[in-house]
Amino acid sequence: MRFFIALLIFIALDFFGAGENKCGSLEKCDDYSATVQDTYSLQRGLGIYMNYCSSCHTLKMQRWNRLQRDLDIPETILLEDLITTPDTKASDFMSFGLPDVSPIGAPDLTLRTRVRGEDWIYTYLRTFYSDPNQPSGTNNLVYEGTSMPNVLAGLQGTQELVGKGKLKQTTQGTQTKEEFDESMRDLVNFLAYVAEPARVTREKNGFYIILFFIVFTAVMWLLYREYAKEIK
Amino acid sequence: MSNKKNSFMSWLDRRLPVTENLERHLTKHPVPKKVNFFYIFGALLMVVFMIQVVTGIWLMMFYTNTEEGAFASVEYIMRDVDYGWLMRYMHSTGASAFFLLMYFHMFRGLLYGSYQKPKELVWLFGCFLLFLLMAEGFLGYVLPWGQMSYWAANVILSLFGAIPFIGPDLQVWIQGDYVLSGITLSRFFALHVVVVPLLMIALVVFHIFALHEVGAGNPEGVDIEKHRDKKGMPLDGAPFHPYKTFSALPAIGIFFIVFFAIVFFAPTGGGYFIEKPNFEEADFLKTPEHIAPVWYYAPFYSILRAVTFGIPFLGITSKFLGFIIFAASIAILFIVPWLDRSNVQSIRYKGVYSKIAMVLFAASFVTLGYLGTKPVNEMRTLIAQICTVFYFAPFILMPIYTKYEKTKKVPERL
Amino acid sequence: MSEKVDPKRRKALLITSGVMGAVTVAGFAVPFLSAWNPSEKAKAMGASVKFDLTKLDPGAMAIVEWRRTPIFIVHQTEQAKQNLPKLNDKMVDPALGEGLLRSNNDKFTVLKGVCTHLSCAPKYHPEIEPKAWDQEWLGGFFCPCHGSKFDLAGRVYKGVPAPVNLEVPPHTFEGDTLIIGDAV
Repeated sequence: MRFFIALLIFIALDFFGAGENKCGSLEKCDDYSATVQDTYSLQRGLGIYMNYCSSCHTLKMQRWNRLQRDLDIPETILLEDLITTPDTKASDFMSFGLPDVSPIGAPDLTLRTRVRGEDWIYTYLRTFYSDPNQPSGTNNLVYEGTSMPNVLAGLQGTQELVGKGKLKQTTQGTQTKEEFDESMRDLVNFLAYVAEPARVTREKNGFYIILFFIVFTAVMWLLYREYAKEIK
Repeated sequence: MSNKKNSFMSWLDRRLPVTENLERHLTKHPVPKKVNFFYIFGALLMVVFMIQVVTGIWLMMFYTNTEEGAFASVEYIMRDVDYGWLMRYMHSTGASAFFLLMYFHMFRGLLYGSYQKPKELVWLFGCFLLFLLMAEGFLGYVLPWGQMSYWAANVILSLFGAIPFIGPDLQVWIQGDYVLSGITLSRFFALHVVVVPLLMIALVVFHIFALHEVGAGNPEGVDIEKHRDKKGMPLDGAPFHPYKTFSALPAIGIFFIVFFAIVFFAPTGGGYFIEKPNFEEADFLKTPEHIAPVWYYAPFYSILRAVTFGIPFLGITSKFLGFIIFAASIAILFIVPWLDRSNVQSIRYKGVYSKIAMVLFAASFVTLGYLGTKPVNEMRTLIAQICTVFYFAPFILMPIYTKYEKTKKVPERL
Repeated sequence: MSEKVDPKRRKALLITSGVMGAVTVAGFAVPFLSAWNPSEKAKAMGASVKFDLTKLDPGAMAIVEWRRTPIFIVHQTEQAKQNLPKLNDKMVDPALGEGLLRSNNDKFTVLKGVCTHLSCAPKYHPEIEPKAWDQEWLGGFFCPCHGSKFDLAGRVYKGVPAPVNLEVPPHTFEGDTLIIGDAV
């Protein structure tokens, strides 16, 4: 009986899941699970975003003042270095003066890690390669045929395709492979934060809420047992 | 001092039957002394219902029910409103909790024969509540107006469109528009917030009144009313308050531990409670790679997809037949009290065929659920078809095996 | 089989669980009550407004919107400043403790453009000449709805429907910039 059920479930399992792409056009994403509790990582990620992403991609659901509060950014740096568009208040959204709908098709990235997944974005950012067949001259292992140019080539260097899903470094950038991977982790952490700013608070405070309910259960359990004695 | 209280109560009781009902439903209402953890789910369901209503009301204060504003208003709640994120996650986790508890609650009913005479009405009201809950969950999921909200709604609405003759007109009538649009969203909002909840509250009241009229069951299927003490209280029974009310409290505590663990540490449920595509605004020009319903509809969606054939000479397309069988999978639950011909209430004393049937049903339901979250392929469709048969067989054959199987003798006392 | 009931233990447990329950309910209430506070959107819309004072000539008035209220910014002339003390006796509340122009400044007056009678918008009449509502008009505001009169510092005349002076909104002067609302 139990064997029969096990067989049923076993058969239904993903042994027959052939042909499903787990990571866009790639077989499997590199594992990465973002953390938003490391403020320094978020700050570095913000820096990378401002330098390499903010000229095309808006973060139009995130307010500057929220960013300031969560990442501990001093007012002067916010107003002088970060907010570069005129007439922008700290309570405005991070749209970087870009139009609401991108004329080049660069999507807003506020929720992107929640739509694609953190490992998808992490893998995507690191798998650009030169491809003369593409109009932009670059392609990507995760998003085949992407129209996004390789804006990170300065940091990472360039890569070329040497086999199915395999890349080789062709030129060096300013960062080593380890440094670049870490920068990308910072960037993904930052994007994960922007996708859900409340995550910082909820991960920090969840422990106390659960602790409270453990105490609650313990107290109520004692009360219950006191009365349960009577109807043994 | 106590005189003041007594005279206040007597003033009140003359005008409103307070004490009478407190006694009838709580302090003097006998329930079986010994039950197991399967009997807690009703109380937990009421707790979750309250959570959904309160968080839902609060969400309503900040939500915009128009096509233009819906998605942005949800992000407004998540970012700009103090504790908005907590309310949103409590509501979404509450929805999944509602279904999980509901499925366990109903399974208890099947296992211990809670639907048997004279509790048929309790069961019927309950089945109706399941149906309403499924409608409520569907309507609610459309409201954030994400990609999955839009496209899954399209799938369900097109099922109505598959009904012969009246289908397409019916679909347009439900939508209020030639395609699913903001007009549909606004009316779904009214249904989700007012109509279905009011119906659910009414049904819960009837469900409990019907139950209290007969008295709760127990895992042994023993009738506790048969043996009473001198005061008329069943020997195997105890008053609901304080014995059952206090036993519910630690269970509520455990429930909240799990509930808040999810809310605070895994609010999207790994993509099963809030699906990834829903973090992107609905785009009617772009279909998501994989349209899947939320996990709690997966078993029924699986059954729908498993029907890959129609009945051509009757003019029934496979889509429409799928719809019929999908509806039947819920409808068949309603008639269980009349399918079960056993003279024994609880699975513990029923014959071996009933036990096999229950296991088959549960295993199929879970397998169908798993399959429903995955894209189709040939092997999966075949397994879904087999499981669909094993889902219906326990019910269709029930009149036969429950009547003829050899049962064990039910004890007199708990 | 049945133990003796210890009433003290029972009472203690009931009280403890009661307190636990009360704390839980209070805990649940906190997020819901807090959610009613002004959201970030409300705070952004209600944020302070800046105004460049160099654009305002003496004798002119600018109207700026803050929290959906018209704010009158008046650049007082020397003559106006000399005339204001002459009107003290005609005022219900001469507001002597608030400074000559009722602002932290010797050139500008900042007022809410809302008549304190029934909230109409008073009209700016800086001209010093006889008017239908006052033969000895020295400049100020006249509310056309029910005839209330205010001087150039927003003080209400005696004998008109409006009961109190025009309200002064919170404001600060930073060089040539006026900030209406709480300072950032």
